[in-house]
Amino acid sequence: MAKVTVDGIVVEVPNGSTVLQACELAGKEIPRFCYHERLSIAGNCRMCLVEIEKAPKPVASCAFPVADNMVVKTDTPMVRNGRRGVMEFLLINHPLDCPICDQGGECDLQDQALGYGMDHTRYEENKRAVKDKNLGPLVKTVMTRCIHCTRCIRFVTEIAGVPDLGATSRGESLEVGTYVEKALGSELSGNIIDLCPVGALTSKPYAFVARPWELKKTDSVDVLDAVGTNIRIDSRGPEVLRILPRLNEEVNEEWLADKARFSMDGLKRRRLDRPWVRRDGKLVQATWGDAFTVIAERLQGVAGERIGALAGDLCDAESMVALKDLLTALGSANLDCRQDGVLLQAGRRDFYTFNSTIAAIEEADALLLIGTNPRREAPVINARIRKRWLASKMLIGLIGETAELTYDFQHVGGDAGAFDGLRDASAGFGKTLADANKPMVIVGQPALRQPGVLAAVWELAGAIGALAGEWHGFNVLHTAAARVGALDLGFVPGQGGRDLAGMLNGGVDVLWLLGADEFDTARIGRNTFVIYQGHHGDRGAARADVILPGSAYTEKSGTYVNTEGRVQRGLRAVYPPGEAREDWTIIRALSEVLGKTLPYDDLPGVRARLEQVNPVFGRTNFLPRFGVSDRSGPGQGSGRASGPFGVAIENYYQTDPISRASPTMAACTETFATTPLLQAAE
Amino acid sequence: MNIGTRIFTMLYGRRVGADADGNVYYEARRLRRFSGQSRRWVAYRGAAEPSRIPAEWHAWLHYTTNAPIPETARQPWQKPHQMNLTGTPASYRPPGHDYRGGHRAAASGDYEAWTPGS
Amino acid sequence: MLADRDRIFTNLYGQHDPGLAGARARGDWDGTAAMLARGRDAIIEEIKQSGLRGRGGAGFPTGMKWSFMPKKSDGRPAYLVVNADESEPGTCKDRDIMRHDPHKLVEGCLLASFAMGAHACYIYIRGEFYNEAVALDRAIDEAYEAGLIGKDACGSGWAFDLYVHRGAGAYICGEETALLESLEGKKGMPRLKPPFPAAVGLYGCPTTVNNVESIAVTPTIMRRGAAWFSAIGRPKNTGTKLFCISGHVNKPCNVEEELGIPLRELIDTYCGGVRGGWDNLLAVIPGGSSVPLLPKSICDTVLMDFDSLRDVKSGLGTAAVIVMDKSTDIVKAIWRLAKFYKHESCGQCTPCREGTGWMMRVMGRMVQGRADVAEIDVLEQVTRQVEGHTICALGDAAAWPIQGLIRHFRPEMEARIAEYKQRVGVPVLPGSLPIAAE
Repeated sequence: MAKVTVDGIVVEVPNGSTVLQACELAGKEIPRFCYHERLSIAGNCRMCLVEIEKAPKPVASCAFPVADNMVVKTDTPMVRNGRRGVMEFLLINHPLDCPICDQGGECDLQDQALGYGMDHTRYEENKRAVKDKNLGPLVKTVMTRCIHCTRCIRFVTEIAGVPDLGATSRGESLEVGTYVEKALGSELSGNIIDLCPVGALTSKPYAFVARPWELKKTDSVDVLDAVGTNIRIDSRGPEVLRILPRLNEEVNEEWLADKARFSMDGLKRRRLDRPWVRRDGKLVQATWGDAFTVIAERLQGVAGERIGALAGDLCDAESMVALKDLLTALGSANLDCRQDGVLLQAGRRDFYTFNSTIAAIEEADALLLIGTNPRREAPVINARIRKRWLASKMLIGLIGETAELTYDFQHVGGDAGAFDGLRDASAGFGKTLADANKPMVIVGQPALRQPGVLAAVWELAGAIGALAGEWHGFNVLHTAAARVGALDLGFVPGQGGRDLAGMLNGGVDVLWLLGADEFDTARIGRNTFVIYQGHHGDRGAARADVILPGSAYTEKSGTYVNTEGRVQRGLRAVYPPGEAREDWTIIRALSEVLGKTLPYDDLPGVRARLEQVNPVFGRTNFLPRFGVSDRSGPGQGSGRASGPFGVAIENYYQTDPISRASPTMAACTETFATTPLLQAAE
Repeated sequence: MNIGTRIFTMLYGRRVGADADGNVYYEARRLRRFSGQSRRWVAYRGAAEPSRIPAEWHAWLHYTTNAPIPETARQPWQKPHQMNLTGTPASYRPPGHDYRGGHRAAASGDYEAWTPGS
Repeated sequence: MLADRDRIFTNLYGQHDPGLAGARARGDWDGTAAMLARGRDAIIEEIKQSGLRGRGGAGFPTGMKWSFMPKKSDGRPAYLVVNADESEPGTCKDRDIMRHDPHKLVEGCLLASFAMGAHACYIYIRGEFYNEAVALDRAIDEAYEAGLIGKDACGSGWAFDLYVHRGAGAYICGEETALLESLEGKKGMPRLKPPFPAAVGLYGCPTTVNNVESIAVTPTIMRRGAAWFSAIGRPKNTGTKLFCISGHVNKPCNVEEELGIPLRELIDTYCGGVRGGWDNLLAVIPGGSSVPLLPKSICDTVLMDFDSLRDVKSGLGTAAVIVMDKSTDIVKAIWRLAKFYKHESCGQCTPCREGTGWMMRVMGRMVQGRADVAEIDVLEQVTRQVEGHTICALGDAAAWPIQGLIRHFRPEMEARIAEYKQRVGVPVLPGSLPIAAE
């Protein structure tokens, strides 16, 4: 620890910290542009100059390491003049187009010019103009505004791991851009919009849409992948205008994947805003009353075991528990949430969650990926893996389809046959795993579709020492936001119940799809009566006999469980469109019509019921780290794994009803799906 | 013009002029004691509706000008004077108003609803 | 005046054989093994005693710089990097060393590397110096062949490899950390200091970066002793120095002289005097483009060494003396330097990137006089805002010539502005010009 005096305030900071960190600890605000906690230090904006006693010149506090008994002054004439001078330099070539700049109102340069700059300009010459770059359908550039802080370059190179952005030329003609004009090939590219301290990089879909002070900010959770990224929904009136990440060190740090950030325009298209009922083979508009009556009539006399329900990938836990309760009341145990056919069972939780936790990736020293491509399935987790890989050169092995990840990895095998080779602790990647103190295994959904893989991976994890009392290295990476919650609720076939395959092809007479669109609806039996409850007219709605309009994740207060098993709640940002209602209330209302009234009628009631079903729902955003107490594995099941695992996500940009409806995601698909994602940066 | 006003006008008023709408304007023959100005008033043709007074006479009536502005001094870009139509059947209805068919132009908050087959 | 026997660079003008045989005849590679045998600390001590100050411009004591290198390796190799990226306008001393006396440099590299525990040394040579690189390569090949460097350098048992790396011709790559970046294959942009190269340098290893001249004189110092070297010159400014005199003198030349020689004597003795006589002198830039100029009144008496020039608010820099007689448009000359720095700024940090362009443009108007007298003060303040606020010294180097101009030639600038006003009227500043006029 070093003792540093900042403006007379004595603070103790760890050795190796920077002067800027010491100043922050002392509560002194230091203006900065290029410095960012999660990026390497560039020290090039020179805004953070402070005076250090005995130093002849002001020093850049962001890059200067502290020394014991250092005396720092942040408010002397030297410092003030230095900041004012730097600010003047930044502004001489910055266009004063704040009124038409999308960053206006949340611009670091605006704020700091007000706080530390001069009140007029002395620059009489002409300003520099820079040609705008086309970085693809997501990021809009106005490069004349660039102040060359290089945050975007550092983010893209270090965290996103693609060598796409760089600075060309030098001096005044220095330009940030892709060296040859191309779209930014990263799934985290939207974050450079947040990082840019000025309006040089802004969101293309959000261009000229709103001002930050007009927006209502609502905290929520992203559901387009299973990471449970914490987001802030910015809405105005009835529409969601943009989605920004929220800081959560344990989940997403402060990053957000592009799909989550940019697919919100899909929330305005193909919406189910009124009930529909199929009459004489044609869907016609109906009232809620009509729809309920039709359902009640159809259910009349249908035996409980002939009714089934399927939960989709974006469902909140509240609607799933309500549906489960309703089905149980109707006497059915035909429930399933595993649309992609993975062989995960409800029950022991560490068989289906990301047990190490996302934050613990930074402790792992060897990693085995099995049938997963984290770059597409969970870009934010992929960024964590890259961070760890950069910090420690963690060795990474991959079983399954080889992919372009943002780190070096060893391709161990393509299918389950490779597991045996890894048991050999004397050579190859098996030795790496055996030598590791905290080995980590991440198994993806495609692998888990094959019988016996779950048990085999668990056993392998045990063999390489990943299942220790202090360290749980067995991890399942989900792709569906609702999946862990559904498994926690036991939304799987009950005693004697049918699973997805059993319900299809006429296995049931009445099939309730709760936002379930990710399976082949053509396999539903011809005479099966399909009730589709959801928010988008997608595959499920097209096949439905009755459509009940529900609400999307931005339109309801919902509980979601991420792949780690972390229970998180999102708040309602806007109201559902038209006649649509929050999903659990629809089920509750119908239960009354059916005469099986569910015993809760407000949100706290549902949540109490959730907790009753599984106590984990009682504590939100809380995830204790745990080791392995019971090393016995899951049952082998019947059948043998064979053949390659395949991939979970073919096209990252379109994976669910919302992103399929989104024009922005369609543009991304057009731009990126044809060209493969770029090679990782060294 | 009710009977009291009619008598008052006959006793004290002096006709100044009339506008195109037929409203007649008067001012008192005697100056007021303190303001040194004469009282000015209007006798409406038909119902008393102040918004029917055109701008030229309005200025005079409110002592903005000493003499009424001749209506011949109107500029070519000036529209003919129109009374306030609020509350009348001819009042303004914005686009999308139910009385104008209820079809408003697309706005940013709109969503596109799903219809079968789309 | 330096006696001929005290000259270090005896083949500066290329009259003799630059090859190994010629170098040996001049005394190079004589007893190198014995010098190595004295050990690391003895060499560093000798250099410290000699008072040798870095010849690249900053004048940092070389012996002290060497002593910053870790005595015991922590597993990382150490490197010596020789800065032969001589791009300072007016400077041409390293070029002649590499062209005509390359063995002095090669031998110096061996000695310095040994003193710092470096087994490898890189000479980063300016890209435009093609013939110099060829000459240097030839000398290195000869030295390898003769066993003077290589696995067993001079039979001392010290393995030493020497590499020549050609730059791509950027002024900023003469800055030591930018040079290291460039050597690593990255964009030549200066690094933040600390950490200094002695702790984290080339490829993250301890590194010392020295100028060609500093390295090339070390063998002679070792051979003739620190006492001999420190007896030349003035206290704290000891030894001999190569002066590159260019501009309005009758015979521009490179010459080795002792530090502390009066400027007038230097010019009169070796260059045949100023064109048109000493009284025709207008100003002198005493140390390459990056130091403030000196008007004639100071030039009359000033001594050419680090401390004397610092006392007159200039600097010795690389000892590139640029002489300007009264025919010079001094404002335009400084504008040209400002343009050079604007062109060579790497663009990494704000004050230099934005400030150099600003200074150049205002200077451009000052050349015509199309400015306001108050703008001279603005210009001066801008130079102050650049100076000392940048990552490397290029910002300072860009600011100093203009500061020197304003300090010594403000009346000239004001007269020019007044003349313009009289001739044209109120100046039209660019900000008020219609766009179409651009």
